[in-house]
Amino acid sequence: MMPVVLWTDALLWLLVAGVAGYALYARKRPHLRAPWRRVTRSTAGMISAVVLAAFVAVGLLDSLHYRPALEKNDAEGRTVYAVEVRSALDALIEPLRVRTEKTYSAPLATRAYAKETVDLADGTVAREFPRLRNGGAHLASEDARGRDVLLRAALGLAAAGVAWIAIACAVVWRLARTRGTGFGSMWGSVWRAETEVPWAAMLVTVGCMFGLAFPVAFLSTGYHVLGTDKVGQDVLYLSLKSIRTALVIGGLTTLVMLPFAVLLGISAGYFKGWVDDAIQYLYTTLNSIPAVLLIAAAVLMMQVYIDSRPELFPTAAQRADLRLLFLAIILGLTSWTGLARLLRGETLKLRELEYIQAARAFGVGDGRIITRHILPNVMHLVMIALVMDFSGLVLAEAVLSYVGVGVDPTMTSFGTMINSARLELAREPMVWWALAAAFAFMFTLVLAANLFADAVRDAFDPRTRVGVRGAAAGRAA
Amino acid sequence: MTAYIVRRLLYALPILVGVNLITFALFFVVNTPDDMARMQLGAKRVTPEAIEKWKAERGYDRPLLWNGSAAGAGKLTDTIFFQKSVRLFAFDFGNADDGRNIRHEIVSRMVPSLALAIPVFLIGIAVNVTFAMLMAFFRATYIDFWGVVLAVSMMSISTLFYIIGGQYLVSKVWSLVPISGYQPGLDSARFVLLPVLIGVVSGIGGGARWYRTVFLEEMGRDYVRTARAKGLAETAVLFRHVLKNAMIPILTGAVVVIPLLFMGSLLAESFFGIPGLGSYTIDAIQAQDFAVVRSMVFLGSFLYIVGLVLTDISYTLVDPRVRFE
Amino acid sequence: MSAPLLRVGGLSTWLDSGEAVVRALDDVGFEVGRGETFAIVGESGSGKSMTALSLLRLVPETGRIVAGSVDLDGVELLSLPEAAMRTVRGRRVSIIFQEPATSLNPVLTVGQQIGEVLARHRGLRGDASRTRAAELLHSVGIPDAERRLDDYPFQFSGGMKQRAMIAMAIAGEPDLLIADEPTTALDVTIQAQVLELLRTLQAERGMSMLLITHDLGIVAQMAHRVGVMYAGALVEIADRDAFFHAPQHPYSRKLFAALPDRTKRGGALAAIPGQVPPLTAPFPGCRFVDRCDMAAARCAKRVRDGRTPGALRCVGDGRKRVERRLAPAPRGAGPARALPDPQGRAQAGGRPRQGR
Repeated sequence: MMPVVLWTDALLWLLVAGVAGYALYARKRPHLRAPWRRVTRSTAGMISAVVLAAFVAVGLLDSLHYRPALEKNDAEGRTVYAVEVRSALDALIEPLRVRTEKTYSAPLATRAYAKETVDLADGTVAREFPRLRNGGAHLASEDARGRDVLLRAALGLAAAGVAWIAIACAVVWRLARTRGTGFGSMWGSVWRAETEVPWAAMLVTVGCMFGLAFPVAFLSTGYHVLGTDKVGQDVLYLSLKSIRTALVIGGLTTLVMLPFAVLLGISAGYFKGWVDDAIQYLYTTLNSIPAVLLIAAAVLMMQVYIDSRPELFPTAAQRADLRLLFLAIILGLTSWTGLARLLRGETLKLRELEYIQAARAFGVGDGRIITRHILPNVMHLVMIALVMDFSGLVLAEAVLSYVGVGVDPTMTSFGTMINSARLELAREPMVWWALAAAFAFMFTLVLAANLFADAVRDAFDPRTRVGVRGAAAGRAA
Repeated sequence: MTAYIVRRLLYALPILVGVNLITFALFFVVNTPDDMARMQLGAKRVTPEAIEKWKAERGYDRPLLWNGSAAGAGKLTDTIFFQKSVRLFAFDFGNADDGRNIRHEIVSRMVPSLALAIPVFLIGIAVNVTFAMLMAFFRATYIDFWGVVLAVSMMSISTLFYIIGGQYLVSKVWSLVPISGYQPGLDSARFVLLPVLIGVVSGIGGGARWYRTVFLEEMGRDYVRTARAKGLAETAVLFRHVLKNAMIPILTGAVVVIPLLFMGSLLAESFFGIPGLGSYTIDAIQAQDFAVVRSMVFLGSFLYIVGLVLTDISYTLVDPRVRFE
Repeated sequence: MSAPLLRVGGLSTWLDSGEAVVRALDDVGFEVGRGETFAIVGESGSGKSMTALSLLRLVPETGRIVAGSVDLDGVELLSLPEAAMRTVRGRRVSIIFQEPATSLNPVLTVGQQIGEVLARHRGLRGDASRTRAAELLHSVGIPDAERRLDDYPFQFSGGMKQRAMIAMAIAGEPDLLIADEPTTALDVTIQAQVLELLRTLQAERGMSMLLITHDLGIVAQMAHRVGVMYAGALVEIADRDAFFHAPQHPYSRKLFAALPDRTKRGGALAAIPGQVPPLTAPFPGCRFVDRCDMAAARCAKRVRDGRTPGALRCVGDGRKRVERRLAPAPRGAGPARALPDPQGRAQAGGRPRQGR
């Protein structure tokens, strides 16, 4: 196989490296570590972090691309690679990708959703719901489906239980070792929720996710757990593939937006005068164009650009990938204004503070003041804005794809899933599963992101710390 | 104060010019009209003649900025920039690809757009403020806690699902109102009811949560403590002191979007088949009608800038500190 | 003398910081007599303002009063229902806050804000309310009071805002006025005027006053009796003269030692070493023990002084050492051991005592 690094892959891993780098940097600095410690103590925050971690894991697996080697070598004996680009995730869930049907089928169905004319064995022709090629194909008799489904689900639950106990024991063992207490007493204090980090809640979350994922995995070896779509693709496969698209949109957009927002926002606030005027003019102008229209116009123009230069994009995957990247760039270019305005205001306040005035009086250079005194003191705003924006961007992708200015139609995303599924609502009986799957995955991802963002904001912004959290603690005490 | 408003108005002009330049660059500099023509005509059957014809029909056959072949002032005016961008300032939008006059379309589509957007806007604010006040009043209790959880959950659902779900439930299962379409006059209420409801409900999550933070921030201020120390009841503190202060950010935040109500709602209009500006915009984007998209960008920005000026004026009305300056 | 107006005992208020419980007030007790001014002095964070807020049951949402008694003229405030408590606030006990700039509602006129109290506690409305509000503004020394009623707080200067706050506070004709650092945010020249105003109003109306400050000069000028707060507890309660004459608690003495005055010119000021201990855990003994240079083994034990309820008596054995150190100056004589100077700044200590 031949590894392929798509643009978005590279940037996504760069983002991962950046986050890891920040984590290492913050580890050594108590003032940066303190708010993150507060995040780790928030139950809602940690539950959502566990859920987000699962989504990110799927997305990152889906960002390791390669071109599989073909079985035949070429004339000179060299390996030949397939044109199609696959990812590690594809390899992991190969059966889901390959075992397609002709068209729609309901979740766990053994027969297709639409009647078809079939030739019967006795030579006559009948219209009936044909058996699926893969869904329940292993069953000798369709009557056995109910038992088979239950059995597989039960086996899945059992496996989930085993895996969960293993993980729980590993976590508690590790905790016990770092604290130098016995396993038994640590186990007890975890489950009595006496630990500062809500391990119990996190383990329960992991348990719930295992309890869902394992039975689904066991079932998906024989069925289409979430049904199939119009062209017979497994909806579960599509949902898993959509995760990466959502992460790329949410993650890369912030990566693009960040330098603009930080650089321009801080410069405007710090230098004031004409610099401030110019930057303010720039973002007021950009802001005054309604976001959807600006994005639509930019995407339309990007389409024209891509279409008129086909020679630049050899494969469909690369084209779709580049379009995704462009979308992230366009979203980034249009969404830096909010954070920039926030940073400008904060910098205006900071630069009047005594210690910065003192630094200026001592002749410390502007660049040094900005990097040493201002940037660290506005980082919390950046962090809050980043996590808050993520969920909004995931939602925006769906809307933009509906409008027709989102990702490439060939690219799997929540937006394209909804878009193709909504047309089928009018069918009798209704095809609901693709929509339901998109809804469930998207809702979980966005809700987890929102709750995590709230926890981060509460931890970083002392002003918002009153309210529910404090009060809940008050009740508990 | 008049001088202040005049100053704000003058400040708005360069922004509009900036918007105009950005759209011009986006539409004509990044890609040439030839690229657009090729894209619209379809890459396969493009002939140079077809491209020229396409450009001539739309007036894109002029030079971009400077027409050396024209006479006199025509050197400047007989260009794409002048014809397509400068004329926008006079709200002369030209014709769409289907040959209809864009300005005429805009004017006739504004009414259905407003019939949907104004109720969503007004009812939305009222509902969100009410929920936010409830949460703020019961702050630090389970009502507040679950209210926030509900709000965060609601804002985690894509608008698309609100529309699809609402359309399915109300129109198909309960058959209460028509699933889509529009008729002018009083009859429009029947068609607008469901989209308004969905518009309001889909906005509650984000709106109520935002207003709640505004209220809580105000409630943490010193003057609230003073009001309590006077022996005022909590309701009096909330309604007389907090609400009055919180309305400054809430109102001014709302005023910005008032002019944009004319633009209509993209999703709701297109799903419910309401012939407003929102669906006009979506259709234009999907049909890649560049003239219409460009016009809507300009109109949207213009209305936003009007909103900014209105915001400044409304500040002076609600906030005595600005009023007396 | 009749029974004191206010009797506070065992008052403990805890705050929840999100990570730990801060025992902001720990077993605080004192009395305020009728017409008396009782001053609470202490550094910031010692719990002075929390005491004031606890009396009115206006502690922040993260805090709660966990124990104690606040007896106002025979009525136990801590067990009153909230509705009844609201008839106490502004009517029987009112308060002036430190920051007049933020303590007034920016979008209501001064007249409206005074009128609120008059309507709530005096039943005055309309013209009667307006006339009374103008009288009140006039009585706190705001010229052209009738016209200024329609002004918004931002149109007032800092000192005038505080005067307006005072007018609001006395509008309900309270028995007890709590002044929480009433002059800290003001210019020095304005400070003196406001203090003078408070003293006059108190004398005219026979109010009791609980004055909270970190400024020993203001204490010397205004108070009849003094309580010293440290780390959430009252460590000493004394009559003003006795206090300035011979502070009892080592912390009080160190406060005086840390004051600048002209006899110490050129030398270093005696800063108190160490830091205020964290208030997240209960104190087994004296809370000043870590910073006290007279600490004895006994200080680990906590002893209550019978004469001054709520205050902790120092049980260290260092008294003699201090006496010895101060010995050259005869008691009550010498170059003003602790008398206020003309500016109201306290002078303490007879000689340079920097270093140990």
